[in-house]
Amino acid sequence: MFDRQEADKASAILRSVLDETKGMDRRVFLRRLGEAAAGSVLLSAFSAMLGARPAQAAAAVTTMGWGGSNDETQTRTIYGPFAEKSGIPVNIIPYNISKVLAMHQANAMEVDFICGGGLDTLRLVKDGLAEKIDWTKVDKSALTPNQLAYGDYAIGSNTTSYMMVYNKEKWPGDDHPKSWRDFWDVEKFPGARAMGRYTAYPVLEYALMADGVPADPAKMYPLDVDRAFRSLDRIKPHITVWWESGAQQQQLIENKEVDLLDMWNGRATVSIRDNGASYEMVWNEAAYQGEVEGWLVLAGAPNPEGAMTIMDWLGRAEPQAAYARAMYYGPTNLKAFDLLDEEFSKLMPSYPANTAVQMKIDFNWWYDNFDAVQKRFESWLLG
Amino acid sequence: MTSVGETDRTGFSDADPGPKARAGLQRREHFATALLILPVLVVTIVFFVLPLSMMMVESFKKDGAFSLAQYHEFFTSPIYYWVILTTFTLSLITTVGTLIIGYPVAYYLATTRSRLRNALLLLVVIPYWLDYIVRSYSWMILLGRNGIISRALQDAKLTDGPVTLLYNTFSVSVGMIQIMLPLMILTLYAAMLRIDQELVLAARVHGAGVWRSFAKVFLPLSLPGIYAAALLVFIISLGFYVTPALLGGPGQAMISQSIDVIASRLLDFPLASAAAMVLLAISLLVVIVYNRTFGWDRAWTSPGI
Repeated sequence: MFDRQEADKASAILRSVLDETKGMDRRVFLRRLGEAAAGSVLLSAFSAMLGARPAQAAAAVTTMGWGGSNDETQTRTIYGPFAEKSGIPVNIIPYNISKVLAMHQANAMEVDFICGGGLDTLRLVKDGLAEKIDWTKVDKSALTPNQLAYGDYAIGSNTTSYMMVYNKEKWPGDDHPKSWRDFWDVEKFPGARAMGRYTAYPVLEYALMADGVPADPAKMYPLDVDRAFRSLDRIKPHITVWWESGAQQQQLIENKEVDLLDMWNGRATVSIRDNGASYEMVWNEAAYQGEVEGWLVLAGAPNPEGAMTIMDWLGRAEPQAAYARAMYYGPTNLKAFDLLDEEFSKLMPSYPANTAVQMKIDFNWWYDNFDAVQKRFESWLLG
Repeated sequence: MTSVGETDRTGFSDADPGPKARAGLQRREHFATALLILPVLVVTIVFFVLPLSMMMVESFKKDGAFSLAQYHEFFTSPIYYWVILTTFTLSLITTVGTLIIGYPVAYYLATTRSRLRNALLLLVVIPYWLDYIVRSYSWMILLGRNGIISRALQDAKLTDGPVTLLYNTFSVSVGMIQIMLPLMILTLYAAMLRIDQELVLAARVHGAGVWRSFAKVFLPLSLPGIYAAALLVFIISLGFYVTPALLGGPGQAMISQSIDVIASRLLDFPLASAAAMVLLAISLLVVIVYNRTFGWDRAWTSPGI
């Protein structure tokens, strides 16, 4: 049973590692975290020998992972500490939202909980695939109010910014691209460019900002789609690569394939801070996704009990801070900033100074318009 | 049918089993044949025919009722027209490219008496075991702006700055040709092994030169092999996904990528099913037309004559 006490113990482990490694880099943090996990396993094995209550083996819960290093990192920073204290193992299968919908339609849900990427949390909640959160099992006081954008149906997870990244070797001084208008200005800033084609958001927003629409959601939405595509027409001949995945973004700057591109902040930070790519991130006019992504229990989950138990853990400050240290996606639980040093906090999309200069994406508009605009975007790309 | 005398000699039976027993034997043979085919049949029906039928039904459904809406959308949208055209073009380039490169290799392998033959065959097969993604990534390293080729061109002062050889029809074609080449070579090789070398020799004896005996005897005899290999490569190329995604730009998007976008980003299962049905129909059509024209199944039914 994962009671409050166990949750606090798991939190304490993460908290001590976070405190101890403040100001140190990602690799040191992950190593210390590994050591702490090994230590606590030893400890619990030892206490088991002494007859203390061991973590009981319980039925596993299943989730979907976004693949790559993210699955491993989530295991180390979020699922591992939980599994160890609760005795509930967490299985990760590859993320595939269409599979979730197909399972739901076939009445054969095999996934217990999920963190919906991009629009997916909104879709799942609106389409009735999210189970109502049992607040007697989930400690609301451990969360901050902004995490409850979906009321009783999801808890805010770590958050992302989509932002401009430029080659610092090409533009070492202060005269570097600073806005989407600069990105579009191929005369003033010549160089190879890449853009994302994974989703039409926030490419259309970039295009509108480049065309003079202020980085203010109140003035941005509803999007003037025609104007956005007209603006995109102007930049299209200058885009060498349209990336389709996070790994590809990193490959583009680590191999210096392009000088200017848009990236997910976490991928950009890993490449620049940890892998030594001489590029710089631009927070100004970055597209911030806010609290749109969240943890939720799926309707018809095979292990609803276990899923609700882990929900009491996922939104807490400690796992969010630990995950942020490893993947650089910002905590939505604002208490997590107490566990991060000031220098590191500045790398977070949810850091107040960053949110102030970013443009928050209105996913409600995208929920209504995604199909039509995405299809238009796809055909525009081919044309 | 055995006679009484023969069965006597083998000692299996003293008398003709009679028409009734013969019929029983035949029935048992049919039963045994059916039993042998059964596993394949069950697997095919459960894991292939059934899901495919369900997908077909899905492709004709809109809001629970029969509808052609998906097909209408698919065929009227300019995206998919271009995607199908690109899919055909890239598959054709791949087929022709692998044939041009693969034919001489297969010819050498099939006609040589060299001891190196097995080693060479191994060299052909090894890349086939490597994952598509790995092979596509290796081309990214070679063809990239800071890749080996770009650097060599700059060092030789042939270009002013770095050149990008990626994200165009060239890079996708190169990647696809490299991936499909072993299949082309092995299929041609298998067909060429069946060609009677004595026929080429006979032509030489009657005064034909090396080139003439090849062009008039070997090449025509290898045509069924060419037809079969080309069809295999073409049909498999139609379904390519990873290589155009990694090495190509939006202009090189193939139909499998579109199906993935429709299913996993637009979450429009009926439209994705319809697109998959179109891909299946196109593949079947290609096979039928091709067979009518070239009779490619001859590659395996006759020893090349």
